[in-house]
Amino acid sequence: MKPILLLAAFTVSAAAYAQSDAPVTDPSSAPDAAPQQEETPAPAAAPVAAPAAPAGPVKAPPPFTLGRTVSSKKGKSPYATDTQLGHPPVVYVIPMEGYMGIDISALVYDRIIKDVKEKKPDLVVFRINSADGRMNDKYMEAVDSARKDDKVDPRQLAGGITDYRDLAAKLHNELDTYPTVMYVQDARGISCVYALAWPYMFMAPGARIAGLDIVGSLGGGNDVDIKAKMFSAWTGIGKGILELGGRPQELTDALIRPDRTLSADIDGRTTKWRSDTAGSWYVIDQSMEVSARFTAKSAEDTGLTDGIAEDIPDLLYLLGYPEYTLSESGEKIFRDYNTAWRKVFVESKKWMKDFQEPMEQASDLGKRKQIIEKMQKMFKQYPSLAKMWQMTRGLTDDQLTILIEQLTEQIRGNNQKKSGSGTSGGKTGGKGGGKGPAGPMGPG
Amino acid sequence: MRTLTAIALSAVLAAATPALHANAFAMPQSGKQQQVKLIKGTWWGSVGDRVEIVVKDQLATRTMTGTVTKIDSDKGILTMDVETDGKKSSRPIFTSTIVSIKPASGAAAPATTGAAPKTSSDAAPATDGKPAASTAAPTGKPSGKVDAQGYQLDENGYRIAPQKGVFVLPFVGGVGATARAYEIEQMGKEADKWGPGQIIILDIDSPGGLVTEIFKIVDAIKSVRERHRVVAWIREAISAAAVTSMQCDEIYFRTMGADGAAMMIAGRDSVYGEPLDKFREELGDIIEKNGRPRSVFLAMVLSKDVLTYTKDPVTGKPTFHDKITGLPGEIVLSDDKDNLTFNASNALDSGFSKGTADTGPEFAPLLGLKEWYEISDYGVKMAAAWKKLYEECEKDLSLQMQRMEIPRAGGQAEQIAVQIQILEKVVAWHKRCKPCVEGKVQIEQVQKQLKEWRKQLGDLRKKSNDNGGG
Repeated sequence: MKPILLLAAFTVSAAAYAQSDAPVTDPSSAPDAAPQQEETPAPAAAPVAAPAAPAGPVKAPPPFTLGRTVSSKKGKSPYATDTQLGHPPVVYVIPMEGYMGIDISALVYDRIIKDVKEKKPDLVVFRINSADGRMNDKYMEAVDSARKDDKVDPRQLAGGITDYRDLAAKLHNELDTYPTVMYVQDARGISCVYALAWPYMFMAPGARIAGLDIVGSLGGGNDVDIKAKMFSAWTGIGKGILELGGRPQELTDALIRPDRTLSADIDGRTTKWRSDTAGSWYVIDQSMEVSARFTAKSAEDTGLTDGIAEDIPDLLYLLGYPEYTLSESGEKIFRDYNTAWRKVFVESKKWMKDFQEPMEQASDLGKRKQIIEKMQKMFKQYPSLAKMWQMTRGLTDDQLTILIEQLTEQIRGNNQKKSGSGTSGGKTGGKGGGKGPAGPMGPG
Repeated sequence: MRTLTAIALSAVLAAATPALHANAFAMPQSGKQQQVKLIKGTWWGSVGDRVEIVVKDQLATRTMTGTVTKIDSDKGILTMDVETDGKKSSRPIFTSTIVSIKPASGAAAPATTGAAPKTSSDAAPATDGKPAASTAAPTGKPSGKVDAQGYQLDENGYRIAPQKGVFVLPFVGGVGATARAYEIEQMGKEADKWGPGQIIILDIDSPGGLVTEIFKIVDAIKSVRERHRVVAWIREAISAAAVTSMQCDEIYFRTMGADGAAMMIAGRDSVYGEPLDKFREELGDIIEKNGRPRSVFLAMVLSKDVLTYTKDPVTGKPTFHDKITGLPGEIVLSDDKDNLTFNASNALDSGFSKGTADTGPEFAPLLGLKEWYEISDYGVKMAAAWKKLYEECEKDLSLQMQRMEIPRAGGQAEQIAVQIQILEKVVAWHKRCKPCVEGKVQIEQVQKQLKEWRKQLGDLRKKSNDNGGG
């Protein structure tokens, strides 16, 4: 929805001013800022990476300090004027890219937290680019369409909201001793909870924060009171995550609840969010059918974001660091894990296709069993793989265990038939041959 | 991943209790006596004490008797001269491996003069400046005695805590499943050992659960509150867990906390009529007696019930209203279409919560403590052990039910034999983890089926033997 500008006022934010010598790039031509596509939701072989560490200054020093010397925000300010480092900072970038709960999983961040503590950076930058793969403006329609296409259902992704809450809380508890900033390359759907869970936040020119309607859709029930209860519980949990970023109720309500409106009054640098459409500065959401959503522009105009940065060097420049050293190990840890399981995912789809081929001979049972055992081993090694299979095909580790036992019995039955031996009362024999057990998977 | 379901909102949550560990050693209280933090609890003593030490060594425990020669609080090492087979040797022991220390038979108990710490006689006042109702802590002086677990006792027979602190009980997962009244009762009994007036923190992370369990929890908390100060710390308190939080003396939130949505439901339907009326009336009465407005609870139950609040322009004191008043500055928490769930910010602003803290050290000053100190990890361990068992049971039951359907290669007799094994596992789980099995299977039916199948199997084998098979 387009924001309605009610009052034009002459204000230029620090970030916007800084960009006056660096024209805003068209979002579609800014590779770092490009929202991810549905078919490639995760970092592929060549993921979006933080810029290489510069050998020296990346830009001329800014003409004036962009840092905010006074801040009412929670958390440690990342601005140079507040960190007062006296040397170029070591900046650790923590990526959050791909599917929530699958690519952006607790396992990876346990490793990254450990690494951050070893590297002891001066500044931590969270970089999020997660859009549930949905690019349609009519977000909930896209959700329904995606379900029909047998892709990961964003509702399933959103169903992990308590896990995301716990991970956000963990990242806060472990890393709040560092000055921290969130850089949003794109956040659509449930990933918005992370985009807004840190108080200092910058956005890429083409970034959006939208689609938290998905949280309210997790409820259900047959009557008005159960629907109200479920809606209240889920949205309450969702709003709780946004409170980690110090976001006020008027804002969190409007972001999550379609039936809430949002406008803003702005007094100097302070934004006063309103849950009506009477804000004197900006009306973000006047619809009772969709939740509030922000573009980088509307977020900047209303002060939701600290500023618009083209990329991470630009972000650091805006924070007041013309010189810095990037620690890339976070990107590497994230990339290594997600590239590895995704490679196995591609392989495993082939395995399961083979598994479903009609059997030509009884010995094929053994091959099938091997496939399933291999799958189970990979499930244990890569929890993200297991989750992906569960979300896309409904296949679980328990089902694999049952399949293995079924196949073992069929093989035993065949062997007994071959050898002509029977066991006591063994008149019913095995069920070997044919197509083998029906797997719980859909089309391979 | 989780789904809120029917009356039993019993999906499994990953417990995320913060790691809140006290230092291995506290500062020495005097030149002579030093406090040693053991695996569980503490010991007060000094160099020269003759003691019997139980040490955990991998899976085994060993008992040693000897004389303490050195206490190195920085490194967490206690050194003692031990006699083994008539030979003396010096043994450094990591205190983190010591299960208990007590005076060796024949030795006098270590002196515990004024060096011993005070008990929590000056227990924390509530944040409103008034002493909490249940903080009348024991004032006994050290008696020089120790209990069977090696804890120093005061003259009233209570254990002496090295400093004021808390007892944490994670209240995690489904109410009636992993979050139960039983653990609350046990936690109360454990805290009793340190005397009345202890602070028990119910660390709540629960999507709700069984209505029947709520009434047990109400009684359990009421009983514990008569001796101690019970505090709710909210990560997630939905439905039955929200009702639980309102039984406590005080409610605090984590920043991401959510507390509310307490409508009674069954499956995908709300429960109306007499059960709901009784639920609203009885729990409303109790919550009101606890000093909280009934209207807060009611707004968490039926969507038609409204809750707003206003703040006194002079004192800032908030007042709840059960209808929209139109007063200046009125904030609507729940209108006539909404069910109420608080977050940390509006809970604090409206006075529903007394503070917000994300970590133990942040929480301590809100409780009136100088620093975060867990007197005992009993509650944390107890809750973790039960949760682990429950989850294992739940997972295995599901697996066993699926195994039941697998055709066995060995024929009918083997089929029945495997099914018997499966049901025997179910019966075994019922013994170990009754609340998990109940509600999923009828154990009487299982027993009946077992009997029938055992007979069938016997008949089959007899028939096979009679036919000369084998």
